[in-house]
Amino acid sequence: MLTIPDFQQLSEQVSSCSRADVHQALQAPHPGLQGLAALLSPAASAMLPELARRSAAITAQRFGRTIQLYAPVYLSSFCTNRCAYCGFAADNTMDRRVLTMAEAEKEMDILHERGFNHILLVSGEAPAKMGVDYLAELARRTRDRFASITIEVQPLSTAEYARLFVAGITGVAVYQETYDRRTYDQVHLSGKKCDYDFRLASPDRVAQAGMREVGIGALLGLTDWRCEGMALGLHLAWLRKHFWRTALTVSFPRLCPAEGDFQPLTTVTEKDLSQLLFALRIYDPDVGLLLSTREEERFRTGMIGLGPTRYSAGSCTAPGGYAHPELEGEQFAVGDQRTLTEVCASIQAKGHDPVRKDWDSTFQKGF
Amino acid sequence: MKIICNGTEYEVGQGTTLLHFLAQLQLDPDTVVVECDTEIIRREAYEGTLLAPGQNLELIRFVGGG
Amino acid sequence: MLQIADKTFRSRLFGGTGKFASAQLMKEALAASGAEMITVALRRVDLTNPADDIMANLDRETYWFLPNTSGARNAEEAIRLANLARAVGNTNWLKLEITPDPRTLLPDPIETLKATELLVKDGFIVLPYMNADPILALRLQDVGAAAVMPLGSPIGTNQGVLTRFQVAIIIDQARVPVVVDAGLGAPSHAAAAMEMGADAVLVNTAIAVSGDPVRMARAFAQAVEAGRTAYEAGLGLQDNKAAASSPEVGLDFLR
Repeated sequence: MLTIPDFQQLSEQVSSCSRADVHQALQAPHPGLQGLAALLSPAASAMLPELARRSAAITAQRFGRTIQLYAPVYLSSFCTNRCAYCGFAADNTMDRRVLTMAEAEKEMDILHERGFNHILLVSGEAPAKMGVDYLAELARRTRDRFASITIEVQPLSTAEYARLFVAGITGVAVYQETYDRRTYDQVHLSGKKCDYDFRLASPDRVAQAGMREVGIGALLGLTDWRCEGMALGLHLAWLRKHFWRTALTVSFPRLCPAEGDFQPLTTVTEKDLSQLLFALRIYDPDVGLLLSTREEERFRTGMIGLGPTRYSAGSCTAPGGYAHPELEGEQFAVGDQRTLTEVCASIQAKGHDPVRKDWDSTFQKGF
Repeated sequence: MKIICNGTEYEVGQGTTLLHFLAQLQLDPDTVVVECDTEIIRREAYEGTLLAPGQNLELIRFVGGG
Repeated sequence: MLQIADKTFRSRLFGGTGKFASAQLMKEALAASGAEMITVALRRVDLTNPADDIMANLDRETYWFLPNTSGARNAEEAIRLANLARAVGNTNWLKLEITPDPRTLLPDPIETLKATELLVKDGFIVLPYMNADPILALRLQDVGAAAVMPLGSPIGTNQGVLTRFQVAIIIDQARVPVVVDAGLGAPSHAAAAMEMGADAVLVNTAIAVSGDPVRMARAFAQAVEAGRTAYEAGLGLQDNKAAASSPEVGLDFLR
């Protein structure tokens, strides 16, 4: 069982790093956890261009000049959890929707027509409204149209993940939100999500079920991002050691104003976010790094080639929003409103290939 | 009666136990293992095991190796 | 301290006991090497020379015996040898070697994986000798190998760590100890393996057939210690051209 050290301890480890430590981490073939601490340190904040250069070189070597594109489909805004930071929180009064199977398929069809091959299915955590049967059925209906279908829903059991894999789901994202137990307890006011350990072990179950990919992440703006970076590094190392068949990705959701008006508990700037991203790239050259439309166009365009490998585009975070753009009830406000075509054009303008397909789930067999 | 041990024929008397046979060969029973017709004999059983005509014994021990 | 299964070792040099000119020389060389774990093989007792007994020469309190299955050409033969080793030595530790090709003595990956799985289920602590194949190392680990023993170069060739690239991946990925075995012909080879982060090395031929096995054993001990210390200290980068040749990246877009 993975254990994350106390954030106080991680904070001390990070803040004690010197410029020399950063230099060493930038040169080491395997910087390791001590190297990651240096790369996340305040000393490294002053060396951001060096970090960017190293991160860019590793990214080009490992992934080539490509960016994979995906779009989220919000299936349901029902949620039984009360998470202080989330627009879907149970005590937030809003019009809730769960898409019918036909509506969900329609949303996916629209994205398919727009040229997307990678889809992320998202929902609030309300198993009675949106359960495994629904997801399995939707995957079965749509798997032939998409290269990959990943889900970001309530944590499931290993058997449920295995069932979804056979149905055509290729990957699962389960973000810990914060790896700091104290903060976790503070912001998760009620609901099943209050169980820190169950959530932390979810990526293990995903991998055990045979999924091709598991995504982890921390919500930036709840506590010290440098410590979250260390925890992400520990989590990646754990997953690599124990589930070597599973590809890993990290997402960097940075808090922005949502319904319910939760204000971030700490400010994470674009510089902080880019340092975190560069540090993780240098620490783990193989990990997929996602940059969503939470971030603005200027930032996303600037970051092309420096570390991220996957971008969402043309996203709508309200259930049914692709077919009905006038619908309200989004989980968070999108920072980059451009269409897929526009995002592709900006990726190409920066000398990168926007990749829409790299796997066919039709090849996928249960075992 | 005749038995085979490590590929060589040996003449042993009726009622010879395995332990007795090892002693005749000047072998420390704690450092060898005996396979009798491809079955490993437990060390505690050496004393109670009577040899039978035509048996095929293999006596094995550790030697130098990398 | 090196830990394998539930046992800890101070020395990261494992000694082989083959090919020495005499039992006395072997004993002295092992003492000079500081090795705690030593490999032994299984053979028919030489009935013309019944007193020729390695166990009489080596103290089981000082040395942890790691019986090997040398000579086995498939899983079935290896399992038979494993059971004999357990009966002779009162130990469930085993260096699994399956070498069907008498010319190269390279290990058979498929038979090795099969035997490892069966032997682990039967309660053995299995350390498989293997080619330096990273995926095989992971597969062996997944079926319960207590450590993996990738070869540096074919046994007896004294060529050093020719499999450097793959061994580095194995070290990076494995969650069980990695013991580089075979082909380490000089102390510098052992040091190189340890600098890469190998948990231990196994040396036999290079000590046993050297001009002075006792002094060579000491040299290997020093090399292993130096390599380990260097690894723990963290080596500087030998080549930073990659960074120097990359263009400056602009970060002016950040707010």
